Amino acid sequence: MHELLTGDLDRVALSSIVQLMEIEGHHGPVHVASGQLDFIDGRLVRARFLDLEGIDAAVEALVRARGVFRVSASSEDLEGKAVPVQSIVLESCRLMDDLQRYGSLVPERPQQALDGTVGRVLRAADGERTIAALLAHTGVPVVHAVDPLVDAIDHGRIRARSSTRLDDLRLLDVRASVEVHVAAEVVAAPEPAAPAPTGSFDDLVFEARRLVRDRRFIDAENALRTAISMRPDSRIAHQNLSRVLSLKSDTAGEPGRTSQE
Amino acid sequence: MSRTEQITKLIKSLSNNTPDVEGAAVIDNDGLMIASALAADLDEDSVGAMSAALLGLGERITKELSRGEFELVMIRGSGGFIILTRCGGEAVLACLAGTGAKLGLIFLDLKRAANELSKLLS
Repeated sequence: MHELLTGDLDRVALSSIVQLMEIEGHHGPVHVASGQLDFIDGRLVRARFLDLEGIDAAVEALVRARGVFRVSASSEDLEGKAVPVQSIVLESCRLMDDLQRYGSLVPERPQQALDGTVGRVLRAADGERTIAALLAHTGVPVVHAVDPLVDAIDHGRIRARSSTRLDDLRLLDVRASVEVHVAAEVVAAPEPAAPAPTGSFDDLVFEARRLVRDRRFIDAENALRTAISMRPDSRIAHQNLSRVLSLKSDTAGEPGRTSQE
Repeated sequence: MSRTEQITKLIKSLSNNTPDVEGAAVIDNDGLMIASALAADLDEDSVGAMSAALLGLGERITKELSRGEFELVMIRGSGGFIILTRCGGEAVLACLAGTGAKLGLIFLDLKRAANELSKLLS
């Protein structure tokens, strides 16, 4: 795994990053503070953020993640059902709109009537702090709190005193207190060594082509490298080596074959 | 003379002796270059990879549309022609020709060269 892109979420939104990953067919994780989003060929297949997993984690990360992000490439095979990126982006925008629409909360009815999640938020409500501040204080995820709170406001159980300024949403920031975690490098299993190819330059170049036909790219590469060591100025040998390396990387996910098989 | 030298000599002869043929190359089915007599400014890596891909597509179309045995693929651009034809089961002869090329003559020479190449490669 190697790092492709890094930056600050204060300058570029995570929603933009995930859409870019989808368009570019990215394969690998996007690390943010307290979480990680994993992509396979541009499909978001796994998300973890704070204590959340799956779609909730992805939406929460889009709303709350701040600070450093890192995009890495990986050949790691990930399992998971693809989550539609556009839906997550839209959902995160909706939650932020609702958070902005409703400001500080004033309980209107006994809190016992409210469920646990909303109750936790309302027990901290003082009529001064905004919903964003209350969520940041209680640690209740935005994805779990906003809809019940809006529902409670709609039913008159709580009253929103004022709207939230956009800046107030920054209270939800989840920033890395330490360097963001980058998963351990995925190292491919070492390829078994093939016996050193022998023969004339011509034989080796022809042999390399036969090996490529058999999809034995490692042996073909060895044959061409030996041929190049005999004639370093051979343009064809160099070109063919380049082509073999390209074919080899194209089929990197497939099981390799060597002369030892 | 090695086999590669014989093949190179044959395609150089095709380039030199057939009017308006500007270059030729023999490429295997995987896009690996076997011999080349192409102009220095051409990216031979690309020629190899694209020729292999185009030949495969041409053969597939010929088969899917029930047009018998595949013979050649020809592409015409404003600057000339690219002609691909099979030489044996494992290789393709690619030929680049100018706009004023006499195609009948080129096809004839290509067919002869492809037959000889096929023997050399077998």
